[in-house]
Amino acid sequence: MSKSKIIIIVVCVALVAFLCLSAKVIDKGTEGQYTGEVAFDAGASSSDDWSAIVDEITTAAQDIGAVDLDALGDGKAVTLKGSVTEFISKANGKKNSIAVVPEGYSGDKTFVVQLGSIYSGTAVRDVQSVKAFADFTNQTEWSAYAKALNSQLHELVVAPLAIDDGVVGKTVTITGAAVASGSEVTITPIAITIE
Amino acid sequence: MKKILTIVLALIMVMSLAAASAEGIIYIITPSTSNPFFKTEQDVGAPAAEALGYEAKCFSHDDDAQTQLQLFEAAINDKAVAIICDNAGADASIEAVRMASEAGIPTFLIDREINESGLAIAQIVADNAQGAAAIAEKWVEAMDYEGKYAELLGLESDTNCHVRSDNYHAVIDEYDTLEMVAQQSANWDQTLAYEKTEAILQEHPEITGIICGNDTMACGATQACIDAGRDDIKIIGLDGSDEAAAYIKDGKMVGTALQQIAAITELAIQQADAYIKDGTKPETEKQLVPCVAITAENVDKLSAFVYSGD
Repeated sequence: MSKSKIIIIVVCVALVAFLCLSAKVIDKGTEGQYTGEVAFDAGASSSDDWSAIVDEITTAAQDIGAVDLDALGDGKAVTLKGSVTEFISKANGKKNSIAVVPEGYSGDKTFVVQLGSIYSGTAVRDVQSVKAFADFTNQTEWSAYAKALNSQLHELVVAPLAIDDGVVGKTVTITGAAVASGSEVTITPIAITIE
Repeated sequence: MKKILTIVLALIMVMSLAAASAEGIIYIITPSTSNPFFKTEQDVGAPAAEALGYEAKCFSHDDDAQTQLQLFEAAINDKAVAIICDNAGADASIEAVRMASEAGIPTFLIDREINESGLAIAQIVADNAQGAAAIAEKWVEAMDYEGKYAELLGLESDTNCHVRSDNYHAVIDEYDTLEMVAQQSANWDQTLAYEKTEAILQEHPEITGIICGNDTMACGATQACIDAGRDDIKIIGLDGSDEAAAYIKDGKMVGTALQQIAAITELAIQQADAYIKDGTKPETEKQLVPCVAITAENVDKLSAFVYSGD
């Protein structure tokens, strides 16, 4: 073996040894601290936004009697006061809601307020403007955000009230996001008061 | 002889003048037109472009990123004024769109988004996440919140395959009474969906539902269930095709979510025209067009990917 080859091999070995010793091992899941890229977390994002969203919907909410119920589109911020006529429980109690008749309402719509714990739709996300689709990488994150908002409202607004069929006959005041399907208006609540 | 030559030359000049007087060439690149959904993109896009004075050239990349790249190269060589594209993969397509952008050709993406902003002028997509969730809600109700079911996935390299599946499950998995016993890819394909469903029905006769990533597969699954005498199985798809609509009318399918692809394609052509003529960009690059959940209640309002209700 020539002298120059030996030198090259020694240098290579030394280099590899140096790289191994000087490399920093980054634990899985902590890459973001080094690259600055943070994995998307819909839950964290929604809890940061929640109070701003509650403020926005509360301010924007119109009385249900003043809203064109045939033009709710993706959703409108509404408020209604009325009496509970029915406690509806589906899917072994996992999908609950109440039927409410608003005070002074004489139209042909029925009003259902979702109580979870499973919620349908994206109405709360769609009536707020704190975050927009463009703030997210793709539809899946945007969709996860809607779901996270629904979890947020369940945890902070609905679950603490532990509403059951004892609510029938009581007067409630609801603020939330309303959407319509046929003659049924579904409201996802961001505030509930039971008298 | 001289006369003929003169006439030929004159003809060539007139023809080249006619070509030059057009607004330019718009490339419309889509997945395979064997799926009526993608055929609609070309069928709606080409006449819409021609009505605005453009020449439309339609191609299919067959969900192959390499083919798509070659078609983008062809568009660049052809000095196209815009590319309308339903792309071949959220990551795999970034290179092609970037190449066009660097060559000064604006791309308007329809139906499928890419995982990069700032390269395309517009990404106009049906809200697959909302559509999948909306029809999954209807399906869960039809299942009465319980039972075993199978899922037919689309082409796994395609973003929408995951968006739809993820959002079906976002709704369905909240019910521990609904259990998925089989999940297989049928590559968006009707025949494959038929065969997979036949096999699933033999292996898991206890299922009462099948959720499918698109209508093509849902129609294959539905036909397999009909042929096996299983009209109790609740099936959903996503797209809003006329074939699915026919099954929904017959009560053989629970529903589908209509992606308003005709409207999306027209919108892309309009935005391309505005950009070509005076550089006007849409307000936001990423634009979502909501899907419409279609069930027996409103299926009469659906035809050729156009919903005429509400």
